[in-house]
Amino acid sequence: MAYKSDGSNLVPVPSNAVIPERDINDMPALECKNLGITFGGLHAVENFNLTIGRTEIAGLIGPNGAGKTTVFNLLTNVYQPTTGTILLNGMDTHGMSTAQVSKAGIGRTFQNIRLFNNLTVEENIMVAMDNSMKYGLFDGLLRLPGYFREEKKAHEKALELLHIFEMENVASHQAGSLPYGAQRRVEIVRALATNPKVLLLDEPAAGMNPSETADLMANIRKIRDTFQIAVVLIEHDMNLVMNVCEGLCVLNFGRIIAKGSPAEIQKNPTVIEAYLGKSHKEGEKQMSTILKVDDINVYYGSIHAIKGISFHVEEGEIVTLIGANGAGKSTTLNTISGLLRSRTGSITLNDKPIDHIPPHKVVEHGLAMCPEGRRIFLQMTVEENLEMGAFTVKDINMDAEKERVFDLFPRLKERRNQIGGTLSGGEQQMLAMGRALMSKPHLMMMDEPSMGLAPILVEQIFDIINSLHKEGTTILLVEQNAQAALSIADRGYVLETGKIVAEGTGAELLASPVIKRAYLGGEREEEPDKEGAYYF
Amino acid sequence: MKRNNTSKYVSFGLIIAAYAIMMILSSTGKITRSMQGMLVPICAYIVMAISLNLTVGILGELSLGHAGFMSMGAFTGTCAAIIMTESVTNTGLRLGLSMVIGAIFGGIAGFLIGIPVLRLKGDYLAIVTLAFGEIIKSIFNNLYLGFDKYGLHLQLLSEKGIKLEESGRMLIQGAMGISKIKKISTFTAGFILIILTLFIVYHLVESRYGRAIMAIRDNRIAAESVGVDVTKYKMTAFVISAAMAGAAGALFAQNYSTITANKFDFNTSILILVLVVLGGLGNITGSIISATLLTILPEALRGFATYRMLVYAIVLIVVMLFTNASGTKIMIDKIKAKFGGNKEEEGL
Ligand SMILES: Nc1ncnc2c1ncn2[C@@H]1O[C@H](COP(=O)(O)OP(=O)(O)OP(=O)(O)O)[C@@H](O)[C@H]1O
Ligand SMILES: [Mg+2]
Repeated sequence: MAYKSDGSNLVPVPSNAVIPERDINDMPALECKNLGITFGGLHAVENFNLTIGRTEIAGLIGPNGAGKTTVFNLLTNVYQPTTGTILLNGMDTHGMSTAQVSKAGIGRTFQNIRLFNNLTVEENIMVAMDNSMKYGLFDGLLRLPGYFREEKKAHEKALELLHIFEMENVASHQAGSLPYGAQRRVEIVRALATNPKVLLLDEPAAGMNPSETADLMANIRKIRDTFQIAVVLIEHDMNLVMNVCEGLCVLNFGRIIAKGSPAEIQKNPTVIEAYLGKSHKEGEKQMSTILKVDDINVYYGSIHAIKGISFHVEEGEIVTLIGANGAGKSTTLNTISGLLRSRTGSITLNDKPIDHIPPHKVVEHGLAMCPEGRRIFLQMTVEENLEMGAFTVKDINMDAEKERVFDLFPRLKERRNQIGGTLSGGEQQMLAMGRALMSKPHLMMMDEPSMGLAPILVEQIFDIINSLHKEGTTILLVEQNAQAALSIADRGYVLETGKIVAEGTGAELLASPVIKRAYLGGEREEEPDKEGAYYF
Repeated sequence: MKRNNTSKYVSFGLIIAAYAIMMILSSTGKITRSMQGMLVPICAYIVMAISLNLTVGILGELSLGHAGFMSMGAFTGTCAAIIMTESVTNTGLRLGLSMVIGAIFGGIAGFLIGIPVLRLKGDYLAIVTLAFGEIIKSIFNNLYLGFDKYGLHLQLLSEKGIKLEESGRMLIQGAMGISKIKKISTFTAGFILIILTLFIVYHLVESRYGRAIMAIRDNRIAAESVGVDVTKYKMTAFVISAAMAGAAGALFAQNYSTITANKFDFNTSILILVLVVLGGLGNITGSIISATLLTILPEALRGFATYRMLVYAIVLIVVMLFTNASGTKIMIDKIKAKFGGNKEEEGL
């Protein structure tokens, strides 16, 4: 990335900034000149200038909806830019199809994971090697020697690539059935299998826990070193960004507001105000059991996913379930909301059993769910999405509820007529929360609300959770961001492979050394120079 | 990869076993006339279902005009067979050649339809194939084709313009279709066609082509992002599917003495789609079973006389509900876990 550092006042850099010295002999891997795109009247990206060195790790950060993902979509020709040019190794990619751009050397991952869910992990990766496989249709249909030779080669290469993340053991698993973190890693491997010169990672750490994130950091460096490629990553996890990236570019409202080294960006007041934020506040409580879960056992086919879990949520409480990926947190929530069934035990909401009624009836009983991975209605407008949230609830003043949600999320108000699918990742998360709130729930369940949000927004989301809490909404929160969740929760339960292994008040769990090591990535928290620079 | 294998062996096993049983039964004369008459249509419908499953289940595109390709193959293949009556006296060989010709024409039709449609995103294919099916029907209903030693004579709307030399004969006579067809289709030919179809589909699915095709189905945007040429692979799948339907058409037509275009109308397309959905999208074994059962069922229900179609519809709905009910799914999962459990481990 091109940036100039003359002391502390480095902000907006002229568009034709100098390429750092180590790259000067080399042609840059990627060059964007005056790139821009408008959607309707919205300048999603404007006057975007960026140069990425051949083996540089660069970060693209900025608030939700700033235009980061749009930049990736422009680089891969998913969108045709309204203005500007993109040079990949000096070659203009204008007019190429997305597939051609991939062949030319750009590999990418997606913010909302896009794996070939019904294929195995290995097949996912082999699809990406398609262009380097040299056998034709008839070799395949007639099983000529070329078929076996090339398939074997691809198989070996796939395992070799999977080895980066030590995932060879899941090669034959169905990709869609893997836990979130593993899916993200498979996406990275798949992108690498196309032999890219530039690797674009859109929020690779979203949904990962701190120890997974730490591994990811090491692996991003390893990938750059072994493959000698450039990596550009979008990420809201400041720990990762500040540690891995050599250069940063900060976007806000589609424009670059700063470029520089991580250290410089961290001190930059504009960036702090627009993006990083400072810290957050606390909440309080009262009592009477809202939700009682007693000894539930859930199976996926023959896999015993939840092994006799019991817990309760009192009125007005924030209770959090934490645990590693695949521990069974989402499964628990889905069982409560009626999407999955327990073979034993009982679940009661306000003393009424809800474990044998269909999911839409559960909503009528006052339970709302804000699902993981922002399952909004992609084809509907923001407003229609909100209305769907109160769809099954009688006696509700739709407009008043909408206004309440719009007050909490002004961003949604601005975009009330936009189609859900075109919202940025963060905006979709807000919409999912807003939709859940529409039914005025007694108990609101949230699955990873902070996933993929900018630090300032994470803070906002937790503020919103807190203000809901004050309004009297009871909340069951599932979070990967255990630190943040425990610090606002009244109580927490720790799940490990389908069992509750620890419980206590938020503060107790935060202080417990076991928890700290396993889920909070304790040691890394103590790095002195990062203190206060970013949330959590 | 490995996970496909069980289903593959089951498919081949079923077909071979059914063939063997039928051959034994018919050689000992223990098979009814009506059953005997259904063998070739069953084979043709199995191939139709498998080939449509390639488009709908594996490629993930909805096609509502699959009977159109069957029609294409039926007419071109049968005409070719009639023309070859003297030059190729071996009926088996002639049938084989006519199926190849049917397949070629089916494939060409698929290609021509694919050009404008497959590059589009969305469900345009459904609309265009629906129109195609109807257009093909109208064309063959209004097409007059004669043949003599000077070659083919083609005329639309009426046969007046066609003056044939005395040794010549009319091939297609508009709405009356082709008549006086030599019934050269055999159960064995049908069996061979199914086996070939299975080979093609399974080998396709297990090659880089099939992988790319399924990747497009699962996530088009991601497939493009890893360099998959979406149009090319869609076209490959669609043309192969249409060609197999063409071959099945040629087989089907030559089981009867007369064939008309109305046999391959929208209802037939929908019936084939029902076979695929009932057997399970992407599930080849399922297609085989549902094609067999649903071809036999109307015959088996003859006893119900007037209520036949009603009972047929009810059976369909019940089967549909049953295979989709979560209870059954769990049961099927359990059975799979019991029998497939060890296979999972040997997976790698
Ligand atoms: N196809 C589209 N049509 C209309 N508006 C769009 C479209 N794609 C993106 N936008 C808008 O452009 C803006 C930038 O979106 P983008 O997805 O790039 O944000 P982002 O920086 O990746 O945010 P996040 O961190 O939340 O993912 C958003 O306000 C979004 O609503
Ligand atoms: Mg984004």
